[in-house]
Amino acid sequence: MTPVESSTRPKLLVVDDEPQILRALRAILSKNYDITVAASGEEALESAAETKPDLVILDLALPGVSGMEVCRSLREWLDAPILILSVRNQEADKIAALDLGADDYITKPFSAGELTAHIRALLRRALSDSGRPGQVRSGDLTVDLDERNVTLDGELVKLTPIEYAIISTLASNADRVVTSGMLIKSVWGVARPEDSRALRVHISNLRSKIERDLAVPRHVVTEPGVGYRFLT
Amino acid sequence: VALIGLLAIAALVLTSVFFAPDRSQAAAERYTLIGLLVVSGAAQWRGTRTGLVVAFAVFMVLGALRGIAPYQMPYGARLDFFFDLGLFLAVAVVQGLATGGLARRERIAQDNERRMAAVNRLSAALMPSAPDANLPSLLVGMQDELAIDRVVLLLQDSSGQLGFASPSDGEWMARHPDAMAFATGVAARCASAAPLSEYCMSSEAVATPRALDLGAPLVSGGEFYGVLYARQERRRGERGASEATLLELASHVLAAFLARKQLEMDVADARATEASNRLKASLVSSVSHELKTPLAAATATVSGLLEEVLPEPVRTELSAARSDLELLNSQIADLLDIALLETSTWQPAFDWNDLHDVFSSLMSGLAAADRGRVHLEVPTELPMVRIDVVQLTRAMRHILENALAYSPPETPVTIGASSEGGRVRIWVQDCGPGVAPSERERLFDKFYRGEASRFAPHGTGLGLTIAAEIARFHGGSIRIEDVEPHGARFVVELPAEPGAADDAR
Repeated sequence: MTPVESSTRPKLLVVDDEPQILRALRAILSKNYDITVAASGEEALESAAETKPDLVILDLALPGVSGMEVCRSLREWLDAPILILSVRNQEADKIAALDLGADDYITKPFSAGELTAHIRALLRRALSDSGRPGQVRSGDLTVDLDERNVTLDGELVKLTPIEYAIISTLASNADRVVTSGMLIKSVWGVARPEDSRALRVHISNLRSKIERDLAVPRHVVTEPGVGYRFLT
Repeated sequence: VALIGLLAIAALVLTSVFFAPDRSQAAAERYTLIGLLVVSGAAQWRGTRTGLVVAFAVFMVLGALRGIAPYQMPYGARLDFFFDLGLFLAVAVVQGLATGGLARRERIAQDNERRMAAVNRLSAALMPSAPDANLPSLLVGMQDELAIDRVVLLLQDSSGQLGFASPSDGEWMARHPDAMAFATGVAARCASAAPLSEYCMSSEAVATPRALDLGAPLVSGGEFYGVLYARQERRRGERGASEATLLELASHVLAAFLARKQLEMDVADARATEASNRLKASLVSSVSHELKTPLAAATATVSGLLEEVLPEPVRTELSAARSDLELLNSQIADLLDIALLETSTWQPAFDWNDLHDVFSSLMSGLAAADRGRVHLEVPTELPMVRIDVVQLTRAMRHILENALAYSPPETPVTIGASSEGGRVRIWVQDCGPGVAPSERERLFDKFYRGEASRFAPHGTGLGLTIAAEIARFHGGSIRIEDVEPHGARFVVELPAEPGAADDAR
């Protein structure tokens, strides 16, 4: 990995109150990114207004203004992706943060490779977001949002309207985690608890049409207990 | 009644004085009529016995008025006089019986009223709003009020032994072994009845020449609390039956009170347990934060260093350090999991899920070395299940890792699933030595290591305990089956929808 030129280096805002984590994140990220650090929610909001970061890494467990609150406030005016740092067993918090506008999450402890992969995917998507993505690709699967069709290896895939609604929602949020609740809302308009069962059935049917190996999905992957992600 | 009697006597005296000078002209019928009035009044006033005495006295007076000297009576009287006597006696008896019955009924009504008042006072004193009730003094109050010779409350403690509500009761019982034998007999009848039946609810009475013994079991909500015993010495006593009813009433009131006390204590206990569980859970969560933060920092740093260009020996050492960190992480996770599961504060996040997601998580989470060993033999059609997908995946991973560790390397491990009648079965099958029947129960105990643990140098010995707990939270279970020719199959069986009506087997 070669250090990127300073002028083009993306600016990252890292929000965490644990010195050890901050030190580790600095060591991993400072080579390729400009890092600003905030140790509290208040500091994070100030810092974000000042530096206009390209991506925010946010720990949910913060003293003072909570991570959830920071996420909500940032989302009101900041377009940059927000990556949540969370711990195991807190799927409910992850879902809440994603519903508040966070883009992705990573569970501690994580490896450096995992973290940088998530950051790269989020930044890539943020850059391509400027133009409207008419086509979203995931390997040999193409979702054409303009033509409203899905092709697998060039062959048109016949989908029901609900299956298309699901995959188009996922594709237009490619590489982001879409929570089950968000998906249900975008497909059916309102979220009722009983829709969750129907959603699983439709996803299962959808996968049988687009995935080669059902045991190892490559296009629409499940984020257990949280939601789904369209992999590009 | 007394007034009527006085008036009757006054009338008798007045008429005697009035008619005395003119007794030859006095008509026998008139005397008889007046006499009847007097006898009836007396019988009404004081009952049959008085009525009879007065009837005889009036007969004598009438005789005197008719000129028959008292010493000639009754032999000197004429036959129609005896007809009068018979009439007087009959009136006295009839009137006495009628009014006597009235008086007795009235006394019984008063007694009942008194008893009801006593029971009411007892229940009022035992109301939840009442200040702390002192049972022994309440019972002494009832005893005095109703003139019962002795009321004793025997309560059964948690070990099933009978004890006394007050020490003086104990002393009294010690002096009356027959009473004690009777009371323990009533208790034994109920204590041995399971479930507590109607038969146990009713009181028991035994009459001896000296006393009437009553025993009422205290039963409420199918729970036996003790015996309320009462003794009534025999004094021309005709009270027995109603005293038994009273005692039974009082015993119901007492039993309800004791049941409520018990419930209050249970609730307090449950609250205390819950508070301690919450404390433990918050302790676990704070310890977990303290443990995980440096671990996460170290893992990130070491893995970051491994991304650099490194001399080979350093890379090898760092890789080993990373594996150690990963192991440490999973062991800490196990310890925290079991701690949290044991506090019962863990709330499963149930939602509808595709079991295939569990299997793909399991497959993608495998270490590179194990990938070739694990085979998925799962039907494509499986019902959606309402599970905590993260936890159930963790349970299955523990079972899978157990199978991989306890069967010879290179031998296959199969994951399978099936569904039937609202329940799903997921299993992991290996070609290891199997699990001896004697070991099957203990295998799920905390920190238990199987006989075959020589295959598995690592691990906390908590994995299967956690898996069993998670299955239990889902309303399911884990069992171990033999596989021919050798091997073990761990079967997790779950309801497709925990708590659903069709799960009630």
